[in-house]
Amino acid sequence: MLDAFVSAFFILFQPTNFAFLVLGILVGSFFGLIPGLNGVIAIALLLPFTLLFSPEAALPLIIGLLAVTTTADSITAVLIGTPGTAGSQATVLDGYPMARNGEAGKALGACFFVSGIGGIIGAIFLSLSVPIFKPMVLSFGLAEFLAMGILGLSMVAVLTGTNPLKGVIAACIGLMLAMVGPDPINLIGRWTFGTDYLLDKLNVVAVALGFFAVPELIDLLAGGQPIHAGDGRISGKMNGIRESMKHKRLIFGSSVLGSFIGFLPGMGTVVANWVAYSCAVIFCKPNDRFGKGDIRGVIAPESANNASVGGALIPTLAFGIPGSTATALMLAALWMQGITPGQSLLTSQLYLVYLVIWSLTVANILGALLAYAFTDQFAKLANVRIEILAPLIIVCIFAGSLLDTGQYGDILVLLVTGVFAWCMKHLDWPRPALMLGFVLEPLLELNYFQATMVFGWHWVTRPIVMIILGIAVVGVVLGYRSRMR
Amino acid sequence: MQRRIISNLAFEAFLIVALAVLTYQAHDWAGETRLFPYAVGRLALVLTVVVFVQEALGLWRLRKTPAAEDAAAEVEAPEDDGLPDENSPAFIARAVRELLWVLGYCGAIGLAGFSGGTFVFLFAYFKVRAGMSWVQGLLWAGGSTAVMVVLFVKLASMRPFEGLLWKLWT
Repeated sequence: MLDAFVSAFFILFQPTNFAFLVLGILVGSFFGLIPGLNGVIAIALLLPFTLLFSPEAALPLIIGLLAVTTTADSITAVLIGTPGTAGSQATVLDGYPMARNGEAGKALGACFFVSGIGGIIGAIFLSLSVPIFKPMVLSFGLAEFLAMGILGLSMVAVLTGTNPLKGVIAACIGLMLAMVGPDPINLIGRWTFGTDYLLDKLNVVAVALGFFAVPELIDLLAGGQPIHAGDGRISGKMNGIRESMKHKRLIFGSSVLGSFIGFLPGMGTVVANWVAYSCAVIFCKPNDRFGKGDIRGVIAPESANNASVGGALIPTLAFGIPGSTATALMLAALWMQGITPGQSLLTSQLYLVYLVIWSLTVANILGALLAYAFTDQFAKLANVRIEILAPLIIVCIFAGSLLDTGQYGDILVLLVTGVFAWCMKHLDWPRPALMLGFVLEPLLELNYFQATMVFGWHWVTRPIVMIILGIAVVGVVLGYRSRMR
Repeated sequence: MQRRIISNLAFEAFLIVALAVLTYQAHDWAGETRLFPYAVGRLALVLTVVVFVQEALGLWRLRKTPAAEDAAAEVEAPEDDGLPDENSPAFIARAVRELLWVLGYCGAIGLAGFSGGTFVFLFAYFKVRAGMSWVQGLLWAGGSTAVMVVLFVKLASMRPFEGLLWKLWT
């Protein structure tokens, strides 16, 4: 394990791999900065490119991107009261009043500093979990992985919106989309409608871009909101760092809380951001300044949202169960690289897990330094006219979906899923539940047939399977109850 | 409120028809090929019908008691946070217009290939939507297309999609 830990460090610092990490950080910062764009869109856009590189280059690229969107998104949250991504919503509550009180630099300094610390604590949380989950995953067989697939699907309960039935239907549609093409046993084409294109599985990149990039861009363009993040010089950032250092316990507590929330399926940065803020208001005394420009109201949510990224990677890497849209897309990237999360990743490819951990650590440090050094320029970048930026991103989306196979069918898939997803978005149908079904279907169907061939129906009575299915049932009940309240 | 429910009903009606067709097709398949699609399709179909009936009943109740609609509208009214209301008719109309641009780009690629379609789309968009002058639009669209072609076709080895016009020509 130590070998893998050390070798991953040296792999990351090979010039090419490190360059990809930096590229991921730059792209992630840009997407975090522009309100309306986010890490999910960025990963979806970069997904086709990851095919072209080795896993040692592709993983730092994706992790670099994932890690820093929650750092850069605080710039617009503080300066104009508009969170760059949903993960910094709570930061607005005290960050924006601080900016209006003339303390923008102090707020941003605190944001960048605690984001870096929070991200590092998240990476430590992830690395500590490897020795715990490794023996568990190694004891798993076909039946247990099938049960894990069912557990993953049960997360629809928490990924769904206010109507649980819509969540289940969306997950079923995702499962059905993934069934298009050859079945895993007899390789007979399903729902091909007589076309050659559909004899293959649907292009995961085109589906991901269609469901998460197209609707957001359309709405961004339709909104037509001018973004003005200011163009003046922002000073006083060092004061923010000094002030933050007086709240070490708050940073540590919020980061641990954020890591744990990230680990829980379906939670992620948005929940971590809000829960950490709420906990700060409850436990920090005096609390009468919260909401009026209290720096603790910036420290707690910003350290938690960065830390949650590390926590969210645990179920994805250990079991291949994505708990959020971003990790579902990352799972797709791993598949495209021929990497299967779980047993083989934690044994023969353990260095890749540590590569993720090192990338996460370094990306958080570099991301915070970059944001600190270029705050003024970043603030100006947020002023880019969306009518110029968006069509270029649309071109990237189309090219990205064409990149893998070069077939016009991929563009049609992108267009159809994009329109369908836009309707879903506006009618409050949960798109993450659909994506969860789409990425879990291969795991479910193949493992089901193999497990029933080996064990018959007795696969259900295996002890670990019963425990996992029990957790799934409890998760579904608790998830639905919390939604119904 | 009523408009929203009617939109939902239309979407669900579309889903019911699509799921019914897909499930009916799966019914004819054999053994392992059929098991998952048929089971999942039937479940989705039944649940969609349930949601459709729920929404239809909700609409019926609203129409029966107009006071309930006022109360619901009051509850639904968003705070004015300076952001556009993403469900207002004006917003939806603008979004549909943007979707048509995307559809146009899709058609342009089909006809003129990736490079040609991209140039036409970018130039038209910059000229019409971004309000650039002819020269500015041409320069921006030409430059951006060149960058995209280098990035995707040359560096990322994308198979250049040639388009119908080129195929007819050759």
